Amino acid sequence: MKISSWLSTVIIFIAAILVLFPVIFIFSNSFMDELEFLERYSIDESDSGAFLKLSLIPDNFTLQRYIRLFTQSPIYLRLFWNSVILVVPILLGQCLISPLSAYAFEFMLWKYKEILYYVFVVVMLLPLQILLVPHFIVADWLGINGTYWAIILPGIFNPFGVFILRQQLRGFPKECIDAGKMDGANEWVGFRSIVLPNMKPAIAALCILTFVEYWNIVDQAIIFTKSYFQQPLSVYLSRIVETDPGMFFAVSSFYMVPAILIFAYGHEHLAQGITLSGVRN
Amino acid sequence: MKRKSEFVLWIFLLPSFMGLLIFYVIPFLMSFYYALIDNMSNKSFVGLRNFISIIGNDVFRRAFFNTWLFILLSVPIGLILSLFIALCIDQLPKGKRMSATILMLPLIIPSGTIVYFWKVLFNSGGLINKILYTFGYDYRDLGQGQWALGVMLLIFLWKNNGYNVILFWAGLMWIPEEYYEMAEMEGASFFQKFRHITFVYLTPTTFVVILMSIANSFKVFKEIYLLYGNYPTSNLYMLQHFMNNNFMNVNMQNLTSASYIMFLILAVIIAILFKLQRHVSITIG
Repeated sequence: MKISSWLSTVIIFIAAILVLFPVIFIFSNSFMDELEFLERYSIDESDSGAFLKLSLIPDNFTLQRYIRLFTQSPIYLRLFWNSVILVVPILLGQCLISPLSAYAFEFMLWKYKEILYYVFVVVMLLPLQILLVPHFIVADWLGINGTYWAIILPGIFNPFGVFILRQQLRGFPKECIDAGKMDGANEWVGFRSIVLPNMKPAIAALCILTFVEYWNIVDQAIIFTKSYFQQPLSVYLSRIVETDPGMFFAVSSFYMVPAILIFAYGHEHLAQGITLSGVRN
Repeated sequence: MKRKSEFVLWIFLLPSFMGLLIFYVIPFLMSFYYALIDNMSNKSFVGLRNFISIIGNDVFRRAFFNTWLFILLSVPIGLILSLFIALCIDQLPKGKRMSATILMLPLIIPSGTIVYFWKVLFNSGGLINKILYTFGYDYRDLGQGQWALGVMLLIFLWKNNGYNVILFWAGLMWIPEEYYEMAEMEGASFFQKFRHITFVYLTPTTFVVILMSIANSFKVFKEIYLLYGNYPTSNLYMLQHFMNNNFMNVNMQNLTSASYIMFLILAVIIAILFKLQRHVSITIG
C-alpha cells in the first residue's frame, strides 16, 4: 500500500471520529440517571481545578429520561410538534415550485435570464436578519404576524431550492429535450417525462437540505414567535440547558432522530444531488 | 413554436418569480423608506443621515468587523481544509463513499441538539481546559475573550466541512484519469499536476463552495445565539445580533441602513464571483 493511501486512511479516520464524537456523546448521555448527571456535570465554577467529568458510557443505564419525555413532560412533545408543522408545508411548497422554475431557468432563451438568476442567488445568500423588516412588512400586509405563516410563506419561496436544482440541470443534455420536441413533446411533457425522472437525486437533496435547514430553524423563530410555547424545539433546546439540564440529552437525541432517518434514507441522493453534474463539458 | 414554448417556460417560472417579488424583493425595496426617516413615531425625512450615523456607530462597526473577519477566516480555511480532506478521500484504498457520507453527518444535526457538547468542551470547567490545565497552562472560559471567534470557527468547520468535501470530491472524480497519466509520462511532479490539472478543473466547484461557505458563515449565528444569547462577548457580537437587537428596540432606521450596506457589499461580491465564473467556464470549455 502506498504511503499516501496509508496516511489518508489515518487522516480520514481521525476526521470521522471528530465528526461522530459529539453525536455519540449526546446520545449515550441520554441514558444517564439524574444523580450521575449532577455528579458529572454540575461543578462549582468558582472552584479552580474542578472539571466536568465527561463520559460516554453511563454507570447506570436507564430509560427514565425517555419515559419522562414521552409520558410526563408534554411540553417537549408539543414543541417537537411545532417543528413538524413548520417544516412540512415548506417542504411541500419547495418541492412543487422549485423544480418547475429550475427547469424554466435552464431551458429559457430569454436574454436576461442570468440577471434574474443572479437576483435569486443574492437573495439566497442574504443573512436572514437583512430580511427581518421585509418579512415583517409582508406579514403585516397579509395579517399573518405572529403566526407560523410569517415563516412558512417566505420559506416556500426561498430561492435555495431553485439554485440546488439548477446546478444539477446544467449538465442535462439539451439534445434529449430537442429530440423529444421533434417527436412532438411540448414543454410540460418534456419536463414531466424527460427531465423530472432524471432530477430525482437533486429533488431528494433539496428535500433533505430544506428539511435540515428548517428543522434547525433559529433566526426567524426567535423573532417571529411570541411565546416559548410557540417556539420550535430547535430554539427551546438551548433553554433546557438552563431550566432542565438533565433532560437535554434525551430531548436532543429525540430531536435528532427524524433528521438522521432522512439522512440514512437519502444520503446517496444527497451526495449526487448537490454536486455539479455539468462541469464535464 | 419557439414562442409558444418560451411562454410555457414563463408560466413554469411564474410561481417562484412572484414569490420572490412578493416575499423578498418588493418588501426589501419598500424597507428603504425606514432607512430615510428619523424614527418610527415622527417619520420625517432625513435623507442619508442614518447611513452616516450608522457608519460612525461603534456597535455597528464592531459587529461589521466581527462578521467580515469571521467570513474572511472561515471561507478560505474551510476551502483549504475541505479540499485537503477530499484529496485524502480520493486516495483511500476503499470505503470512499462511506467516509464521505460520515463526514457529511454534522450537516443534518440540528445546532441546538449539541450546544451542551460545545459547552462541556469549551467552558472553563470543560475538556479543552482540563487538557490545558494538565499541561500547566492557564485556563479560561474559551467562549469569552479573544478565543471566542476561534471556537466558533471550529464549530463552523465541524458543521460545514462535509458539504464542501462532497463537492470537491465529486469534482475530483470528473477529472479524466488520462490527464494525470499523460502528465506523469511527461514527468510532471505532484505539485505540477495539482496546479495544472486538479486546480484548473476544480475551479467551477470552487465557486459553488465559496458561495455556500459565505451563506453558511452567516448561519454560525445559530450556534452563537444558542450558546450565548442576544448579547455574547464583544468578539462574537455579529451583525445578526445588531440587527435583531435593533429590531427588538424598534429602531428600524438603524436596522434598514445596516441591511442596505450589507446587501450592497454582498451583491457586489456575488456579481464579481458570477463574472469570474463565466470567464473561467469559457476558458475551460
